[in-house]
Amino acid sequence: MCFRGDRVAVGMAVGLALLPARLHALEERFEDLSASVEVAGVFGVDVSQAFLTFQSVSPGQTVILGEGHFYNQVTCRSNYGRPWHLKAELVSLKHTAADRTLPPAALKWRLVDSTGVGQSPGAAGAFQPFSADPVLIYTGAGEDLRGRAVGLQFQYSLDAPPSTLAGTYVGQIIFTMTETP
Amino acid sequence: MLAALVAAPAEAALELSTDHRALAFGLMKPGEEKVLAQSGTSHNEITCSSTNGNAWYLKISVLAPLTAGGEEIPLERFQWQVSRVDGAGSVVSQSHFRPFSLFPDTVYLSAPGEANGARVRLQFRYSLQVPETQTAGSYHTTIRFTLTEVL
Repeated sequence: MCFRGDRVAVGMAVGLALLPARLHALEERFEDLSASVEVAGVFGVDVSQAFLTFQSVSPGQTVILGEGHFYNQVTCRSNYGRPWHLKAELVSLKHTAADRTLPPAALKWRLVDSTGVGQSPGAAGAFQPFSADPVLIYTGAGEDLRGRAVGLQFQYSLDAPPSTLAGTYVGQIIFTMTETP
Repeated sequence: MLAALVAAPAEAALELSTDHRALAFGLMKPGEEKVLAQSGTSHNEITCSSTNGNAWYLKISVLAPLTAGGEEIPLERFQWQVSRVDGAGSVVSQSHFRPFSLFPDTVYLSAPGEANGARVRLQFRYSLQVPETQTAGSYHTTIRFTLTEVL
């Protein structure tokens, strides 16, 4: 304030608070939700023709089922992502009226074709003998482990030993699909 | 002393909420297809609103394919669909399933009158087709809804 006679000059400081315009940043919000699914396991084996009928076989003769093509197909499927094995055993080949059996090795198998990418000891073309103990037929690998059906096509041969007693012989082959080597 | 106050503009706000209903497809066999839809028409509901006066977009994406260990279900097998909209804006491909993507897909574009706080509700359905040769396991992922002012 400055005093000059009859005048008083009053200086006023005028301040105006100017709030800057708030800058608007582009906004974004998000919300998340969980998603889940349990894919079921598949593990099984199926046989297309369950009866191996050799009809009439003479002692010393070899008869082949499915010659020129294949006799039956065993289909295996697993989606567990782990190696699996197909095994087979011959329970018995027993005479129906006498206490006689044919040796298991008289019956043989040969893998003639496969839709899988695994390995088989019988894939080299030669017939392999059955046994009373499980023998390895095929081991799945690669895409075989992811749920694709693997078809294994077989021929069978029967060698009747020269000393075979005449009559009807009946046996049972058990195919087992397992993850146990 | 003269003091003046200029009121600051109200805080701009986007709001996004879900009903928190997870996408649980449960147990499915290889080759099976399943659609998640509660009440016969929708599985869950998303609510959007904005008060900032700008156009806004709702987008949907998935953070990763459905995965179990090293195995994945292909993204194109997992799909979403807008089954119902309570809003005046534009819906992308309503009533058609679209595959999830890692990159956000636009679901809804707000109408001019929907930037003043009006709530817009969208309901969704989901589809999953498990491939025939899918490895067994528990598969998980996260889907994300994004409310944004960026197209």
